[in-house]
Amino acid sequence: MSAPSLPFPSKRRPLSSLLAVLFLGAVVLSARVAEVRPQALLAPEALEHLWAFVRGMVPPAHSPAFLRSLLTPLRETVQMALLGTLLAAALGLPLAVLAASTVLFAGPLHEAARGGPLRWLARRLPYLLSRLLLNVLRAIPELVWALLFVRVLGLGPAPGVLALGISYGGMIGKVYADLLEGVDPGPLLALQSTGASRLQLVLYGWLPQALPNMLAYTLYRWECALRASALMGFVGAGGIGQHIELAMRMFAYDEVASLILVVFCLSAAVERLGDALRRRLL
Amino acid sequence: MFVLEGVGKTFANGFVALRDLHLRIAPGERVALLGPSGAGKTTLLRLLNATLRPTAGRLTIAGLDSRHLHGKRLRQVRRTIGTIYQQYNLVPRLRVVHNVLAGHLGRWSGWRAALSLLHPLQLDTAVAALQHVGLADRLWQRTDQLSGGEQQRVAIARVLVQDPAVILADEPVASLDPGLAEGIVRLLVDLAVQRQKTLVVSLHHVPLARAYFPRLLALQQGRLVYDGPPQGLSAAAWQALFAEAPLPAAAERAHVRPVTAFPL
Repeated sequence: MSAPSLPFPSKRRPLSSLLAVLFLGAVVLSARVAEVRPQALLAPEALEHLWAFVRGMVPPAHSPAFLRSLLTPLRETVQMALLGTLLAAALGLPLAVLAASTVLFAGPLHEAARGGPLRWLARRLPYLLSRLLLNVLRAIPELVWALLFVRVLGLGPAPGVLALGISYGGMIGKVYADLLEGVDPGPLLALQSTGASRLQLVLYGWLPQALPNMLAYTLYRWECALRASALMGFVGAGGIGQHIELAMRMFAYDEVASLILVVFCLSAAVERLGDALRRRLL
Repeated sequence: MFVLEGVGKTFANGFVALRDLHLRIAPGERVALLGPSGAGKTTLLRLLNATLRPTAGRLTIAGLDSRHLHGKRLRQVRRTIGTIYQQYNLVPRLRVVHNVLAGHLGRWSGWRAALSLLHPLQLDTAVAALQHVGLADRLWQRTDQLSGGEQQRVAIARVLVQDPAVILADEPVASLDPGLAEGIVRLLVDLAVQRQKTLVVSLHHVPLARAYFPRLLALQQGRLVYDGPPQGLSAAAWQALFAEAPLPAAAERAHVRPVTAFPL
């Protein structure tokens, strides 16, 4: 009796089995190095702490005075996210235009460009520099930027805004640049043949074509910024995070519970809003 | 208007699109460009509107050698040549008014162009151009809501606003159904006659070319194989020209960036 023939005969790939073994080994090793011991959560004193924490959280703080005191940090958090995202878009957009290869040198629009090694370099240099800058900006996490700016500007939401603006500016700039590179070149060729300048091509061809996707991504970044700005307080950059940290330090678990609920509702609401706006855009 | 002396174009990937073209097009002439896909019609039109440079020979546009055209001067020359495309090449998400006013870009500064996106400038020129093509009521509509035939009319309105000395059209009716095709060709021809503009149109459709153009050019594999009045070649000869095994259409669009699949 012959073996049933499979439609796709499976090939034994020794390399992938080797990779699987290596991967498993890496996971086990990491867990040991990082001292991840799930059983530690079940130790008697840990359970005691956990119980105190949970008991303290019920019921969440809800006195009118406390709820009123939430308004300012709540406003700060929302503003920080909004301003940070706007700053990021304002920083990312010009860098993205320079970091889009099709704007500067690649593709059908540049087939009539003049040659020569100096011109070749002059066209690529702004591209390379802005790509490099974007990489540096987003390689450093926003909390690290916040830590730096808190040192420079002192406590409060201003360093949070700057931190979000800079690190998200790097992400937004990279994505904008990729979106600009992906637009249909046909309309650009037509605009070029009317005698339009590079700047005019950006305004009439590249931006209008990429704009819906750019806005959709900016909205998504704004949602991320809101969650991030709830954390900013932990490094002293204002907003709700600062209150969470304070309440934790004073063992006011009922307040912690309320604050976490507020953050949850806020990010859920923003996600809903973002979804609705995106649906209208795309 | 155009003088080509031994013009050839070889793309960077080695594809020879045009070879040894000798050609002279006088101001006010109406010329139809015929030939199978891949014959080099699009490349020739892109040489004529100065968005490509010849790799061999000499091309003179309005007395200016294309080799010496750069920067501002190059843009000025492009401004005097309006082009219409098979795929209309309008910006889909812009309103009709901005696509039409884009015809002014060669004259406008960057600031004026930016301002016009917020508050359309020289609106009367856009209205007049759209009236000419019978679409005055579409001024504020988004361009991607228009049908193909309407979009091609908007593209013609853009050329009207640009007010060039030459109108080039690259297969302007190939994406339209035959009923609309003749209307678009007639619109272009009337325009060229009324406003004394040079007109060069590439067409697939031989009867349309014979009916509306006093001079026909035929390209085959990048070479000029006929230049003369429609009577010069019999219908059978035209048939033979197009019966030539067509080159892959992709060759003609060698300038389009290839889409690479995900490297999975």
